[in-house]
Amino acid sequence: MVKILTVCGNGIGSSLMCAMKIEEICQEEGINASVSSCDFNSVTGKDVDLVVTIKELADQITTIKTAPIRSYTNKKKIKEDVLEAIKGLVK
Amino acid sequence: MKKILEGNIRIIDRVSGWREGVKEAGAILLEKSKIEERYIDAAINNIERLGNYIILTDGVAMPHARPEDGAIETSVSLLIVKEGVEFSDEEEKVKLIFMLASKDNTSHIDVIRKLSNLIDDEEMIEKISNASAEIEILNFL
Repeated sequence: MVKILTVCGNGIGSSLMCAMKIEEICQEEGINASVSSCDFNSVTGKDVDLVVTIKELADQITTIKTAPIRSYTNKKKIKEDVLEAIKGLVK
Repeated sequence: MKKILEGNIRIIDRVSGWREGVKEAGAILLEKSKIEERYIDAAINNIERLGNYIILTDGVAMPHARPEDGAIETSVSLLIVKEGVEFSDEEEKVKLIFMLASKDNTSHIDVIRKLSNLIDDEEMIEKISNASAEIEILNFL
């Protein structure tokens, strides 16, 4: 099981939208993943394998592997930005 | 989505900057007592502090704050800025500003799912950007 965390400023808007898209992508790809979302200030200490967020926030996260996204809602772009990183964690 | 946005759409030609855009989008919810005034300030403050995580995709922003920042009812407004407004030098101009308010951490999940699917539909976004009246938009939703 891959643990993925999506992050935005508040943890209830943009990151939640992105979490929904990532769940759909993982389902389509047959990847067993648990996707959650939170606000930027709560990231530290979270037990996850990958953090997905926009570049300006990803650059400030140093303790967990990050995958920067260009959009929180565009499924095609999200897939291009994160699928390889997620697949890398499955092995 | 139609039911959520009905009566909450405003179309204007231009705003002086992104702060005014967020204020105008928030004013729609404020007038209907869906949020307190401090919710708008919190949304602006979040952008100043944490940057443009509210730009969901090219041309579309969704400013929001936390339930405890003065959200009264779970609601969404839409401000269409015909000439677009810059949020940062790196991003494309934003034409659609969806102000989101959620009264708690879960009641907006269905709204978020619908809004996210709407925003992912590029053709729909184009049609909304070019609309000249709320009724026109409600008809395609």
